[in-house]
Amino acid sequence: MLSIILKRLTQSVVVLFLVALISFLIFRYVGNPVDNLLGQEATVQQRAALEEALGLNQPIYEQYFDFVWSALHFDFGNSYRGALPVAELISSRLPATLELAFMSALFAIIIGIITGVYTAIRRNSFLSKFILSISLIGVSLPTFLIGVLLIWLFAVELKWLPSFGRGETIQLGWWSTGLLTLSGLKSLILPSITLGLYQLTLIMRLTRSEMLEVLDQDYVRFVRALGLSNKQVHFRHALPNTLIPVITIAGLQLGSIVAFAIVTETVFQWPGVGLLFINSVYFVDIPVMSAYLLLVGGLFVIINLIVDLLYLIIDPRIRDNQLIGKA
Amino acid sequence: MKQPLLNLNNISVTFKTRRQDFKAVEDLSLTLKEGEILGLVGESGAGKSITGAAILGLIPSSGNLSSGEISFKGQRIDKDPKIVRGSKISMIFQDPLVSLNPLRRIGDQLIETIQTHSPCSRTEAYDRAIKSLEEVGIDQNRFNAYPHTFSGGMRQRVVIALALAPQPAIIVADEPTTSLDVSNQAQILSLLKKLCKEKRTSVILITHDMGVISQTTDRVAVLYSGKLVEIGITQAVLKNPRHAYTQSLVRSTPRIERGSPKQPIHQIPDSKSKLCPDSKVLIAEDLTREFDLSPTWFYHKFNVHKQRRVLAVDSVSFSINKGETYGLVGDSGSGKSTIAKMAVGLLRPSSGQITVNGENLNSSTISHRQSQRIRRRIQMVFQSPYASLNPRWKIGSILAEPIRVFGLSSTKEEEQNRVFELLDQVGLSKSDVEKYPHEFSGGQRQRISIARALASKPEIIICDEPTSALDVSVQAQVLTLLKELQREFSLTYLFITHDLAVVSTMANKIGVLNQGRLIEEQSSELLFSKPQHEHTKMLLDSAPKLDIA
Repeated sequence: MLSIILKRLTQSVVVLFLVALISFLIFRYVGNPVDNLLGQEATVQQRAALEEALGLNQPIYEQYFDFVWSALHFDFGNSYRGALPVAELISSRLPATLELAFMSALFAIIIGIITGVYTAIRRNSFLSKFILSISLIGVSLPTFLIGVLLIWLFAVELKWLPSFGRGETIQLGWWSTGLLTLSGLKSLILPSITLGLYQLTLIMRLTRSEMLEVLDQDYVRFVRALGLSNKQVHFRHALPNTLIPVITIAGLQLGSIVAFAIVTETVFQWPGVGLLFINSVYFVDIPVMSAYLLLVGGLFVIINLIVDLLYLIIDPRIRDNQLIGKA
Repeated sequence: MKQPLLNLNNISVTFKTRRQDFKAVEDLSLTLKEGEILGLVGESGAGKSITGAAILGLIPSSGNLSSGEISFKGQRIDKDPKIVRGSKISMIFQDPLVSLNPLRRIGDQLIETIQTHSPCSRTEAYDRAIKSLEEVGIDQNRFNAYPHTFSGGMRQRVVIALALAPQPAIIVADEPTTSLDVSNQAQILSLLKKLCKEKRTSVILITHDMGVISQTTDRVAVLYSGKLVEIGITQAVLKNPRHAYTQSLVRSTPRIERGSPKQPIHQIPDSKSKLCPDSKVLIAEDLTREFDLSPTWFYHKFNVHKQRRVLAVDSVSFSINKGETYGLVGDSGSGKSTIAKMAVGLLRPSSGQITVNGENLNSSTISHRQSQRIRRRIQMVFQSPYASLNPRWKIGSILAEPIRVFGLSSTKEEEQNRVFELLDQVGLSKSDVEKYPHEFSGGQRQRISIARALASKPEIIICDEPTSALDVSVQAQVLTLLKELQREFSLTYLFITHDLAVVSTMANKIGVLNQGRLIEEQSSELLFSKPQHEHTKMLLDSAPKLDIA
C-alpha cells in the first residue's frame, strides 16, 4: 500500500518536472525576454546588464534549475505588464477560479451521479427518457452560448441573479472567498452551471451505462437471489462498483474544468486566473503564461494523485496488488 | 398425497425478440420433494437455466413467465417471488469468479445476508456467519478477506455459504462446478450434497454433465429445446433412457475407459507411423517458462517488492510421433495452456526448446521466412469458439486468410475452391461462406475453427480444450470430426484438456501436469489402469463418472 503511494508520488514529481521544463522553454524561447522587457531601442550595456540580472548568460541547464528552484519558492518573476510579481497576481486571482471550479464540479458530480443512477434503475420511466433527451442539450451546445442564454434568462429577464463578477467577497488571509456572502453565492450559481453542464452530462451518461452493466453482472444477480432488497442491491452492491470508472473520468474532468474555465470566466467577467491568462496572451506576458501552464499542470497531477488514492480506498484488488487482468 | 415442496405447473417462459416471440421453456411441470436432489440436464439452450431463474423470478428483462404457476408449499410465488428469495429459495451461479461483489469483504456479505432475513444483532449475525464459513471448510481468519484473494473453488465455497446462510428450503444450483477443475468439482459437489442432506435442503442441480448427474442427484429431469422429455429416478433413467434424446446424451458422454482395448483411435491403421514408427514431429526439451509478475519497470528498477515470479512450466520434455495424439491433462493453472502457446510460437520459452521436424522453433537466429514455414505446419484450435472468431468477418474471409498469408493459392478462384473444400471437410455447407460467426452455434463455430486450422495444411494441430465450452452431444461430434481428420490427413495432435474422459478417447499417450511439472507420462491404457503418481490417482478419482450400475 505504502509502496504504491510512494510510486505514484514519484511519478507525479517526474511529470511536474517535465511540465516545468515545457513552461521554462516557453519562457526562455518564445520571444526574447530581453527585447520584451527593454524594447528595441535599448543600448548594448543595458541589454548585458539585464541578461546578467535575469541570469540569461548562464548555461541552459543552470537556468532550468534556477527556474525550478524559484518555482518551488513560488517565485515566477515579474509580469512584463505592471511589473507585479506573477505569484502575487495569480494568488489574488486563484481563489476565484478554484471556488468556481469546485462549485461546478460539485454540481456536476452530485447531480450527474444521482441522475445517472436514477436513469439506470428506472430505465423505462418517462422521467428517465426526459432527462436523457434534455442532457443532449448539455453536450451539444457550446459553453459560451449556454452562459449567454442563462444570463439572458436569469439576469436580464427575471433579474434573479447577477450577470457578471463575484459579488461581495470576504478576505480570509490571502484567500478571498465569495462563499460567505449572499451576493457572492448568488454570483456563483450561473457560472457554475455553465461550466459544469458539460461535465454533468458526461458523468451522468457514464454512470448510467456503467450502472446498467454492473446490474447485469452475476454478483448482482446473486445478491438478488439471496433476497436482498432493491435498495441494498442498488446502493450497497451495484453503486460502488459503478463508481470506479466514474471516478477516473470525474477526476480528469475536474482538471479540465479549471483549465477550460477561461471561456466561462470571459462570459461572466469572472476575476479568475483564466481571465488573467487571456489578458496575458493579448500582451504576450510570458512569465504569467508559463506560470499558468505550471499551475494547470500541477493541478492535473494533484487531482490524478487523489484519484489514484481513491482507487486504493474503494478497490481492494488494487490495494493488494496491481495485477488485475494478469492474475 | 403429501404436498410437494415446490411445484411448477405448466410453466412457459417467452422471450420477445425483434423477429418473433421465442419460447425458451414450454409447458414444463416439475415437482420437488423435501430433501431431494433433482438434476436438470440438457444441452445449452435447452431452457435449464431459464427454468432455474424463473423459480426465483430472475428471468432476464426481455423475457417473462407467460403462463403456468409456481408454488412453494402450496403458496403461489410467481406473482411475487421476492417473498421467497434467499429466505426460502436460494441460488448458486456458475462462475464463482464473478458471483461475489469484488469490493466487499466476504464476512460483510454474509452478515448482510443473514441480517436481511432474520433480524438479529451484529454479534449474533457474526457468530452465524463464522459458523457457516466453517461448514463449507473456510477458516474463520479469512472472514475479513476480499473475494479476489480466494481461488475459484474457495469462492464457490463462499457462494455456497452465502446461499445456505439464510437457511433456505431449496437451493437452485446453476452449473455450480462447470468452471472448476475436476478435483475442485468433486469437492464442491460432495460438500453441497453433504450440507443439503444434513439440513434437509432440497437442491435443483442444473448441469450439462451426465457424470455429475449420475453421482449427485436422486432424480433427473431431461430438457430438450424447452420441453421436459423425461423424468425419473437417476439410476433408472441412465440405465434405461426411454427418450431418444436421453439415449444419445448417455451415449455421447465420454467415459474414462480403464484399460479398454476398444479405443477407436487404435483401430485406425495409420500407415505412415507404422512405416517409420519413430518419426517424432514435435519434440519439447526442458521447456521452462517463467512469468514475472512484478507490475512495472519501476519494480524492476527499484525492486520495491521482491520480484514476483511464477514458474508456469518447469522443465517439461515430451515428444509426439507423427499421426499420434499426445494428451496433456492437469488442473487449471498447471501450465497446459502455456505449453500450447509456446508450441505455436505465441510465447517464447524462458529456457529449453521446441523442435518441429528437426527445426528449432524458438531459435533466435531463425529468419522470418523460416518461422513462417514452421508456423504453417503448426496450427491451433482454441478453447472458446465464441471468442476465437472475429465477429465482424464473414466465414469465407476467416478461412481465406491463412491461405493468403501463407501464399497457398495463386488465383482467387483457387482460394475460393479451397475454402469450399475446407467447409466440406468439417461438415459445413458452401453457402456458409457469406455468414458471420454469430449465426452459428458453438459446435459449428468450433468446426469453423478447425477448418481455419486446416487451411494452411498443417501437420500438427494444437487443441487447447477444444470441447470444454461445448455440451456433451456436440462435444462427441467435434471429437469424432477431429479423429476423422486425423485419419484422413495423418495429423498429429497435441490435445490439451482437463477432462480425463475426453483425453482417454483421444490420446495415444498422456502426460499429467501438476504445477508446471510433468509428473507422469504413460500410454493411455496404462495411465488409467495403473496410475503411478498420487496426483494422477486423485485426478482419476475425482472425475465424475457415469455409473450405470
